[in-house]
Order: sequence, then C-alpha cells, then structure tokens
Amino acid sequence: MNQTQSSITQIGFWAVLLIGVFAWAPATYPGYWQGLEGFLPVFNVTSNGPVADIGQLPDLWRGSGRGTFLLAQPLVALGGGAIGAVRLSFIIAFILGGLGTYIWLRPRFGDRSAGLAGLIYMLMPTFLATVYVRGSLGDALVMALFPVIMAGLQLFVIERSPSAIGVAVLSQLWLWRIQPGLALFVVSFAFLFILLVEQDMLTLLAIGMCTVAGLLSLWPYWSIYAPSSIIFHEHFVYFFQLFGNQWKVAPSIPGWQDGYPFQLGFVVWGFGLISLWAWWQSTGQSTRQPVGTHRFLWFMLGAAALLTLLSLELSNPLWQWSQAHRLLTYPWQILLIASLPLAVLAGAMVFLLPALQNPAYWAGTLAIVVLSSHPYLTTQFTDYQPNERPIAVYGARQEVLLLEAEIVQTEGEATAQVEIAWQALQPMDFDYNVFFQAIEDENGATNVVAQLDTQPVQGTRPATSWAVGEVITDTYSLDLSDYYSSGKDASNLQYHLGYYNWTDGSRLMVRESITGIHDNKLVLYGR
Amino acid sequence: MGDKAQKSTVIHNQVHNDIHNNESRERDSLFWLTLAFTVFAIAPFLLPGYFWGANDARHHVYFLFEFDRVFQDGVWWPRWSPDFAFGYGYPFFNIYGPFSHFLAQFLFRGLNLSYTGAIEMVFVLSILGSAASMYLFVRSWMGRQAGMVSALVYVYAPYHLLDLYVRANLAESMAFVWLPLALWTARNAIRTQAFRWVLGLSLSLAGLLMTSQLVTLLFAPLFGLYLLIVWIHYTPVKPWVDLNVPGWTRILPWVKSMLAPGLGLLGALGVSCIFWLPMVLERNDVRVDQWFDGRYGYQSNFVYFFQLFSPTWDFGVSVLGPDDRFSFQLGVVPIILSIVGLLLIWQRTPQIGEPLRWELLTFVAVGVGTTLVMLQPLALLWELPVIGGVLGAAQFPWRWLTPATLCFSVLSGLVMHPILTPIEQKATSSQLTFPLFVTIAVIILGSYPLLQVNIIEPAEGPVSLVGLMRFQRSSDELTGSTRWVKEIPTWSPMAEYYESQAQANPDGPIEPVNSKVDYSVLDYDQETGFVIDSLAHNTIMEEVWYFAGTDDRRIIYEHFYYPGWRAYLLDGEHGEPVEELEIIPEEQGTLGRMTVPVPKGEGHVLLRYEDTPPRRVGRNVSLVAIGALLMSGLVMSLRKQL
Repeated sequence: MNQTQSSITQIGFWAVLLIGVFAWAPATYPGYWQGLEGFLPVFNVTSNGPVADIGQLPDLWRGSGRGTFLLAQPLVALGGGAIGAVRLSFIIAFILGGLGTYIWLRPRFGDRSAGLAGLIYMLMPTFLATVYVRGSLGDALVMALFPVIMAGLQLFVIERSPSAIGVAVLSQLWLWRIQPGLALFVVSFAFLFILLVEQDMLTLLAIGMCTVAGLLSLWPYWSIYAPSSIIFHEHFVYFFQLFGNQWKVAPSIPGWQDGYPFQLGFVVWGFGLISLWAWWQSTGQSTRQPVGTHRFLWFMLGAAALLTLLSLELSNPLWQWSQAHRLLTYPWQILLIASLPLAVLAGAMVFLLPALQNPAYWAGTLAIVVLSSHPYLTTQFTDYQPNERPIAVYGARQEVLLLEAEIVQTEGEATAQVEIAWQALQPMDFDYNVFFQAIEDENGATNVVAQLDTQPVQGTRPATSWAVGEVITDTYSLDLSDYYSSGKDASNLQYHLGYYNWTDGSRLMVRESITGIHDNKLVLYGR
Repeated sequence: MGDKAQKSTVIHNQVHNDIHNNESRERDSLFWLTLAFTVFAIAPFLLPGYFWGANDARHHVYFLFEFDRVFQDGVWWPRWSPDFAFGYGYPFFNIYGPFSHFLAQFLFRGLNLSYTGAIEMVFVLSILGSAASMYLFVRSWMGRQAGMVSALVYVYAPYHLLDLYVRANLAESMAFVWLPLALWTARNAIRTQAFRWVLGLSLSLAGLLMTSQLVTLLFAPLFGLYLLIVWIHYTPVKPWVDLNVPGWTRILPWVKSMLAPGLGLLGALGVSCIFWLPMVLERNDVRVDQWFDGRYGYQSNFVYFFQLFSPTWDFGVSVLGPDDRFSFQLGVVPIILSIVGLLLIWQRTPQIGEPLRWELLTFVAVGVGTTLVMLQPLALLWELPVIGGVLGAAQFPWRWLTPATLCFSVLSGLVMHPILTPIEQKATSSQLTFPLFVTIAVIILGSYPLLQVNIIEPAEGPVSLVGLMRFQRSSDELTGSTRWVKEIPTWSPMAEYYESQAQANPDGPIEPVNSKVDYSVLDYDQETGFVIDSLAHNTIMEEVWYFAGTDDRRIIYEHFYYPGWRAYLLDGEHGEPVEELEIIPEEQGTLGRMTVPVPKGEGHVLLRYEDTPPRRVGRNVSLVAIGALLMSGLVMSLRKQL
C-alpha cells in the first residue's frame, strides 16, 4: 500500500471516529439516565462476585459477568466516580464497535464502505437501545467486542499478524467473562465465518482453542444459576416491529403492543436492500468483484437473515428444542448479534455502487445514517447521584431498588421522618401501599409506637405508574409526640419500611444490600 | 520546482480559472435556485397569524411600534422609546442596532403591512439575504455548487433556525446577512484593491454594526484572523522572502496592500458612526445590571457537550442545567459535510494551494474554537483579563454558536469543491448535478422537523399601548432603565391610564397620554401655588404653561432622565427658547424622573429630547463618510469611463 492509498484509507477511519460522536455524546450527560437497568451497572462496578448480583439474580449465562466492569473498575480505583466510569465504558463500547467494524471491512470493501458500515453499526437502533433504553453495559460491550474479534481474525487471515490474533483472542476471552450466553453466539458466528468464508484452518484452530479456554474459565461458576423472571417465549419480536419508528424507554412486555424499540432502522433496511439489488445487478455484469466477495456477502446475508428470524416467534420450536433459550433473557437479544451482519450489508452499498464514493454522495449517505438515528439520541436523563450501593432491593423479581433511606428523628417536633428514593426495575403488578412504622423493642417484645400506611407520593404515584428505571423520591413522617411525652428515649426505636398488598396484607420481600438479610421489611435506625 | 509541484500548480490554477470563469458569467441559475430553496425556511412565516410563542417575537413588534411612534413625530433616527418601562421611556435605539427596525418601518409604512407582517417580512428578507451573501462569498473561492451548499447549510443550520423561530431574534437573524458579505468583500478588497470592494466592505460592516453590535463583537475575532490570513497569503509581495532588499521597499508595498481593506474598515466606522459613537459614549448611562447578573450571568449558562449533538428542539427560553429544552445543536448535516469535506480536501492539499489551505484552517480553528469556548471545561478562559472580556461580550456562552455556524457552513461547501468533482462532471459544475441535488435534499430534510413556529394568540391583546403595558408587566421585559433609576418600576400612571381606557372600551382605540407631567405637585394657593398646563406633547417633547408662586417649584416629568433631554424657558406660547433650564434627576424616590426647577411667576417651558454632542458628531461623521464614499465611487466610475 503506497502513501496515497494509506492516507485515503484514513478518511473512513476519521469519519467513524469523528462523526461517531453523535452516538456517544448523550453518554456525556452530567449524571446518568433512567434506563431499564437503572443504576445496576453503577452499583455492580464494585461488587466482587463472578456475576453481578446487586439488583439482579446472578446467572452465569444470562447475567453480567465480572468482565462487564473491566473498563470501569480501573477508573473507579483511580478515584473516578462509578457513574462516570460506567458512562465512559459505554462511550468506549461505541467507539470500539464502530472502529472494529471499519477495520474488519476495510481490506474487503475499501475505506469509504468500511467507514459507512462502522458508522451504521454505531448508530444502529439496536445498539442505541441497548445503551440508552436498557442501560445494559454487558450487552453493549458484547456489541463492541464482536466486530473487534472479527477485525482481529480478518487481519490475521490476511497478514498473519500476531497482534491481530492477540486482539481477537483477548477480546474473545473477555467476552466469555461478560456474558457467556451472547458470547456463544458471537463465537459461533466467527467460527462459521472463518470456516465458510475465509476457510483458514489456523484461524479456526485459534477460535476453537480460545473457546475451550473461555469455557474452562467459566467452569468454577457453572453452578451459578437463577430462574429467569421473564417467560422467554412470550417476548419474540413481531415482524412489523423490526420496521417500527417508536422510541421510548419502556420495558419489553409480551404481545404486539410492546413499547421497547425493536426496529433495525431505516438505514439497515434501505441501504441493505440497495446493496442486495446492486449485488444482484453486479452478478450479471462483466465487472467482477474481488475474489471471495460473493461468499462473504452470502454469508452475511444468511447470518443476518437467520439471526433476525431467530428473534421471531416462528423460531420458537428451535429455541425450545435446542434449549438455547437458557442462554438469553429475551429472544430479541439475538438482534444484537444480527446487527453486525446487517450493518455490513448496509455499508456494502458504497462498495457495490462505486458511484456513491463521490464526495457528495458519500457525505450524504453518512448524513442519512446519522439523521435516521438522530431522534433516538436522547433518553430519560437524571441528575440523581446514587450512593455506592442501594440500601435494599424489594420483591422476589428484584422489582424495586431502594436507593436512599434516611431516618431523621426530631425531638423538638416529636417526629421521625424518612426521606427515600427508589427506582423500579420491573413493571409493578399491583398498587402496593408503603408502610412506615416506629417500633419499640422492650425486653424482646416489640410494640408499634407509630405507623403510616399510604400510597406513594401522597397517592399521586401508585406503584403501577412507576416507569421502569424512573427515580422517585418521597418523604414520610411519623408523629412521635405520645412517645416523647411519656419520657422515653427515642434512640431505642427502630423503623420498619416496606411495601404491602393492601388487599391481603402480604408484604414484598426485601433484601438488604450490605448485610444480605432477607425479610419482609427493611429495618432502619434513626439519628 | 519538481514535476509534482508544477502539476499541482497547474491544477490549482485550472480550478481557480474555472471558479473565476463561472463567477464572471452573467447568468447564475444556481444563485436563483439557492434563493428558491430557502422557501422551506420562509414558509413558516407565511402562516396566518404571528408566532407570538417565540421568545422575542413580541419584543420586535413593540420595538417597531415604538420606532413608528417616534418616527411619526418627525424623528428620522429614533433613539428614545417613550412607552418602554411603563411609559417612563428608555433610550432603546441609542444602544440597540436599529437597522432591522428601519427596514421594518419601511415595510410597515411603505408597503402598508401590519406590525407583525412587517416584522415577519424582515425575517423573510434576512433568510433570503443570508442565503445570497453566503452563496456569493463561497462561490468566489469554491465555485457555484459549493456556494449553493454553503448557503443552504447556513440557512438551515439549527442555530440559525433557532434564532428565527424559537428566539425570534430579529437583529441576530439579520446579522447573518452581513457576516458572509463582510468576509467576501474583505477578501476581494485585499486581492483586487478595487474600490467597489472597499465600498462593499464599508457598507457590509456598517450594516452589521448597525444591526447588532453583539454579533459584531462575536464576529470580530473571525474577521480579524481571516483578514490577516488573506492579507498574508494573497498579497503578491512578501516582505519576509528577500531579506537583501532594503526594509522599507519590502514592507511598503505589503502595507499598501492593506490600504483597500483599511479604507473599507474606516468607511464602515464612518458610515455607522451615527450609531456607535453615542452607543459607546452614552451606554454607561443605561443600567445593564439586570441583563448580566444572576440568571443572565455567563457562569451558569455554559453548554454541555452532549447538547451540541442532541436532537432536542423545543420552544421556550433557555433554563439552567443540562435538562434545558432549548436547543444548542450544531446540526447533523453541517458537521458531517464539514468533516467529510475537510477530510477529502486535505488529501489534495498540494492541489488546493497554500492560501486556500490557510483560509480553511481559519474557519476550522474558529469553528472548533468558538464551539469549545461554550463548554464548561473552558470556563477558565472567561475569567482571563482580555480574552474573558471578548468572550463575555456574548452574555450567554451559547451565542458563540453564531460564528461557529458561519464557519461550519463555509466548510460544508467543501464537499462540492471543484477539485473533488470528477473530471466527467467538470462541464456541469455550474449546473444542478445529481450529487448536488442529493446534498441539497439532505440539507433540507436534515432540518425539516425544525421548520415550525409557535403561533398563538397574544395574551396581552392586540398591538397597542395597553398591550405593551400588559406585556411589560407580565414578562418584566422592555423595562430597561437609566442609571438614575434606583428601582425598576412595575407599573405607572401612564400604564394605569391605558388600562383604564381598555377597561372602559375594550374594542376601542387606546389613545396615548397627552401629558407626562406629574400633576400631583399642583398647588392652587393663589399666593404660593403651583399650576401647570400642558400645551403640546408628543413622544419626544412637551410644552407647558406654568405659574409658580415661589421660586422653589419644580415641574416633574414622568420620564427617566437620560442625556439628550433638555428644558428651555420660552418667550411665549410656542415661542423661542430664551433660557436653558437645568434638569435635575429626582433625588427622592426611586424612579430617577426628570425635574425642572422653574423661575417664580408665569412662563412656558419646553422639554425636548435632542441630540447630544456625541450624536451630533456621529451624525456628521456618517454624512461625511457616506458623501466621501459616494464621491469616490463617482470619481472611480468616471475614471473608468474615460
């Protein structure tokens, strides 16, 4: 490659790097966003378990492994806040994803086509939803490392570069420690790609060995299992949803009225179809594509189609038969894997129609890529700054994170007040009452001194109205005047806080974050 | 010179010849097509009704209302707005660029448009003018297609649309017209030294200064740097090249090459002297604390990085913090076209030539620089002595989006630079090619969702004096005061008078007050009393007859004091001034009203708003400058014919 070619190749690279800022700019908001996973990535940065367990039931295959926080932990160790570290991890995920795609495709498609594909990948609704709707750091990093692995393998096939295979191997090993369920799909894709497209035995061997190493590294944690609270087969995507344009922070619910954005985006469909048309046209013309192009495109088309089909209900028997549903929480997570071949097909448009390399056309296609995703580049931000850990988690399905609860006893006013902030992690199925009780412990016998039972936020925010990820604050006050007037010492009081079903009195179970105590109420002490 | 360098020079010259040939052709269809494509930006102004929901939409209607009130009283250069501050008056156009409202006044009276229609028409003209000026500027060095792209990016840039539809800032929108014109004329003045460019530079800079002094300050760093770069790179003589030649023979021609732009600058200062000299010298007599402290302080108005890229777009004023719904986006299309254009053109550096490269670098540096200074991490710069002063002129950091938008619009045109055009398309480089069409479509569609105005009914009722009073009370706007005012009023007898008229007859006309004398001081004691009767009154004068039983009586006027107000004792009713009376700003109370001590006995007093020495000097300098420019133009024209 001569110097001119070398400098030309940088245009796509710089376009991905500079224009990609649109994808990650929302993550620079000075706070965090109220995604479906709430503050869980922030809380789990400093947890020590092999699989994240704060606010979620640890599961080896579906959960977030320690590798999820590998980027964030050094920053936290250096004194940076957990929120900033997680945000930076998301930003790096976008950049890795875009540049990985570019580096993978550049040798085959050339600079501008690879640049286009890289940008498409960064701005794909699936990627944006993973970050700004779900707030799932694990899945975002899987999307980031997937193209990096492909780029490493591709360069190793072409150049036999040790550093390239090194990057691919390390990325793959890292992937296994992020989310083994999705990792299995990524590795399968890479394996089949090398087997069917590149047909390079040495690379296949590297993938195989790496897979064995990755699985062995998981061996000690094989028993970490938790039943999913999601019924897998109820969450298949409806075909029309792949073409939708709605965008909101909403949890996935069964049925066709699901509010979660499943669309693949205008660019994937539009550019992808043009690519397929141009490819079809080129097969009948004398101009020949470089060797292996057809095989490459066939593989991408097949992979994209198959993986997309796996998100639809018609694939349910296959999931059930293979037991692969055990690997993912939702079937639509497979679209994260499908995103890469779909972006490749869309980005191939400029390669298959060289006229589009005209500066104006190319700039126009890049602009269309950003414009088509621009409305999605915002989210429900919050400037709430949580503590290092939540106080407790309510509900068997880990429904509610209690972010903050502080009791203030005021002797002058003879009151006890609790200020709480909480975040729903699941849609609530009942309008639970809040109970707040002052309990006196006298020689082992407990006595309720004062109590409050109410709907949250003066009845304005019943539990079923809580949006998943939303941070809600409220204050409850108990009148302790009788207690104080009897001359008793308020330091003996403890306070119970929780939620209960007002029709039958049953309480939501609560797990205290630090002590791990399971009970039907949270016990607090005043100051 | 090697083969490669020779080849580059040849290509460079070819490109410039292409551009020059294109430019010199008489019919430029792309220019008209560019203007035609602004129709999508203009269309919202053609909706029935008026966009009262925009931030300053009301202000400009009432600016015009006041402008016309004074104009109707025979003042051709209004400086005093008699009904602002609830009727106590404010020297608004003495400190605020009046150009847009001159234009609006012309449309209002000349074309018999309504107040709102005239203001909307000025907005429309600003859109057309900004497209035309950017087209002309970019066409002169990048060709017609690039000119069209830059012009449309300039019109449809989110910040420009924000100025138009959300902020409804007439002066800043109109300033968008002058910025490219100033760059264009300055560039050509240096390169050609021709008088027409001197004239153009004078008028465009004077126009800018008289449109918005704020934008002039924001534009100054870019203009200065650009002038310097063009001067260094387009002047044939380079004093630093042949150091063996004596210093003065090297430096003199180089300095002489700055004569044309220097004259242009002087001409601009001369033509606009009528505005800027009083503005500078009398600005301190106006209170500005309410516009720069607290919520208006720059410290709490920095832009967050993500906001530069956010799709958020909403009506309303900017609020503090990152959850502001006010849009600060740079725009998808301007950013992408600029980046791609730069990346592509940079590869061909040898072909585009050193001067063009430096010109582009100027726009990159200023575009990026002005974007960065809006962000909190560079807040430190705002604290520095000189730089902080320049930056602080913006009041709100996000106002630096004006030069940033200008720079990114210029750079956007690069994607259609002739050097990037394939050889087979060279012949059509002045036509609407398909790549150009696609680019235009992307530019317009990229901003299409933003092309909307907020048309609502005015809460204060139709445009009238009572409407003005109600607006001031509900919004605390248009309540500026002079430095003698200790407390900004919240209501006034004049406002009460208008409101009572409206209450008595809701659909009837609202008549202006026929006197602004405070009659509460009257005393009917036959010996020591004090009686006043207004004989004539308009927006800038009042003549009264008085009888003062003692020599310590003062006439109190319901006007804030400000330089220019003068009082005279007349030799009879409607007579000639025989003695100037002292005006003493009220010592008691908080309003700083004018009081005029009158001699004992009976007499006639005239209070009149006049030109101060700075205003007279400014006016005369402007007349001389305009005369000199016209004369020079005539002489040049005659010399050419001879």
